[in-house]
Amino acid sequence: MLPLHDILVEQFKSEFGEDLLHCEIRNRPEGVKRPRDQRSLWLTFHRRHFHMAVTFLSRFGAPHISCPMASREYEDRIDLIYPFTIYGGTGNYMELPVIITAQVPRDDLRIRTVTDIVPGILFMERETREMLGIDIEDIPDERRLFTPGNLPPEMKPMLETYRGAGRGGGR
Amino acid sequence: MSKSTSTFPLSIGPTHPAFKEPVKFSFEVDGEKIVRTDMDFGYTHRGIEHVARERNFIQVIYLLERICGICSVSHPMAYCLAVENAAGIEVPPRAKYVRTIIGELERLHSHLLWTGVAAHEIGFDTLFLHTWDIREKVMDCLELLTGNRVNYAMLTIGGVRRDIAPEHYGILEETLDYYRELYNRTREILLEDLTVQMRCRDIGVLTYEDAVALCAVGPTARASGLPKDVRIDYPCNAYPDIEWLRPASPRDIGKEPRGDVFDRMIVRVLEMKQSVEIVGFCLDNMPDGEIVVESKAIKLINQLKKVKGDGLGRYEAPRGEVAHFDILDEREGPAQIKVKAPTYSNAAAWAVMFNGAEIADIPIIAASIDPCIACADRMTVIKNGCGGLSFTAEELHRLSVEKQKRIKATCGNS
Repeated sequence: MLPLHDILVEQFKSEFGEDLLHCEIRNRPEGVKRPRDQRSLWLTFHRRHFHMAVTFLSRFGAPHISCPMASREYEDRIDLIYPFTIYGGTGNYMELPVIITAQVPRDDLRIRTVTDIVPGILFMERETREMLGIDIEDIPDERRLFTPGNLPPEMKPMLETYRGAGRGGGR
Repeated sequence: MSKSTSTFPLSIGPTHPAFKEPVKFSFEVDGEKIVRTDMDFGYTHRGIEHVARERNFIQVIYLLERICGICSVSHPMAYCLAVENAAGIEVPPRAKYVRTIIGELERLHSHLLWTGVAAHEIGFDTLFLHTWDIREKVMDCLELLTGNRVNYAMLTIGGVRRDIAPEHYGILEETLDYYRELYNRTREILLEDLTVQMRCRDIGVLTYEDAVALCAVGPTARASGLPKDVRIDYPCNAYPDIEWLRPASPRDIGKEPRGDVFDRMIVRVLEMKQSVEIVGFCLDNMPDGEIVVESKAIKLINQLKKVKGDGLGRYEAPRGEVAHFDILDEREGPAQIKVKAPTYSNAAAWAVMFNGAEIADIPIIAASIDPCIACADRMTVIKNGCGGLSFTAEELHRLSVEKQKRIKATCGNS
């Protein structure tokens, strides 16, 4: 029988075909006396297939969102990276991170909410909205989460274009 | 006289004596009963994620230690794991064990701290003083091993900065014995005292279903019967070697999880014992060898500067899952880091816990997730053009010196 991550990959490939833009399994050994492989699954979709992908993932178990969405910026698009995990809480080393990247066109910064599938993602979507200026369609709460009310609406602190004039260590 | 059916708004915070950190709750109350809850964050602004983009890989470790004073191992751990994952760095076996020991000592002192806070919130100050008194032993032990009570500066990318020396083993064993001897008495006070049960049983309930939907983590999730624990679900460091390790649950003492404040206390009490035994396991099985892959910071930075990729680092902090997502882009430091603290996940569950509770229970329900607002708030940048709220480091230093002078002058005149 195939391991769970391989089954998941096969299912995603069969369901999405060419709409699955990139698919990768990463392995990393952990432990010393009882080494175990830690696996993670990395998937990339265009934003129009993102909601369907998360819906599909939820058929295998309740997705848990592990971290607010990171972003990679390109000339024509912003990649939003959603680090989900599934099979957690089974208590038997079975958890699998499924990191889904959604490609959002730079000239139309919007993506559909997934709070209908993962209600716990609401704060993170609110953060993405205020920090990156990506409109989260149908989000149930449009308020800012962290930034103060007097921050000008055009100011999106985590966009590369907003990067401050620091000392440049990370550059 | 007819009973009123109208409700009233009740705002608590952002700064309030019942809360250790600033967060604003807006309740809708019907008499003493809470019928609706809303929360407002962002009062602990430090812009850490933004600042991290301007620092090199090593500087970021010490910056992230300061996200939270209590979790000063957890955040650097998740960050180092994320960078190691992105760069394919294999941590030496001995470093994995040292990391586990420091992390579990942190969990022990954090849970003891929380127990004291919880006791104080229910008016049981004798218990508060008792737990904070016995916490000192593990704080002393951490100071001995690392040089600090908090902000230990123990971790680095690819290992740890200091080894556990042979002369430390005896002191560590003595510390473990101290807690083993105290455990039964402490457990009896916390879990069998009627006062604690009367204030915590069936208060602030989070059901299993809500815990799953709202992505609850840590003791908060485990108390609701959701056995999520990164140490078991997705183990790193020495955790895969510990065969007997299981997520703590009220079921371990024969009680079906109810997801209330008392169950959260049960889980943390059980985890204190677990931490002691994990440290004991690591001392008994400590591998020999190196503690770091590359001890020269400049050389390490130059290696990481060639890496283009991303990594997810996850670690079970005392309050639950800490996750860092790091993007490496051939720079001297991370191109981007995203940080998720356990309170960020568990805060959404507050609304469910408060609804139906009474006003008097607000402090203990708020405390029951062991909140760390500084962790959750880690990010907000305020720059020029929004009301002049921007300060440079020099300005902040000057303000601090001026304030100290004012205080000294005032004290000197009194």
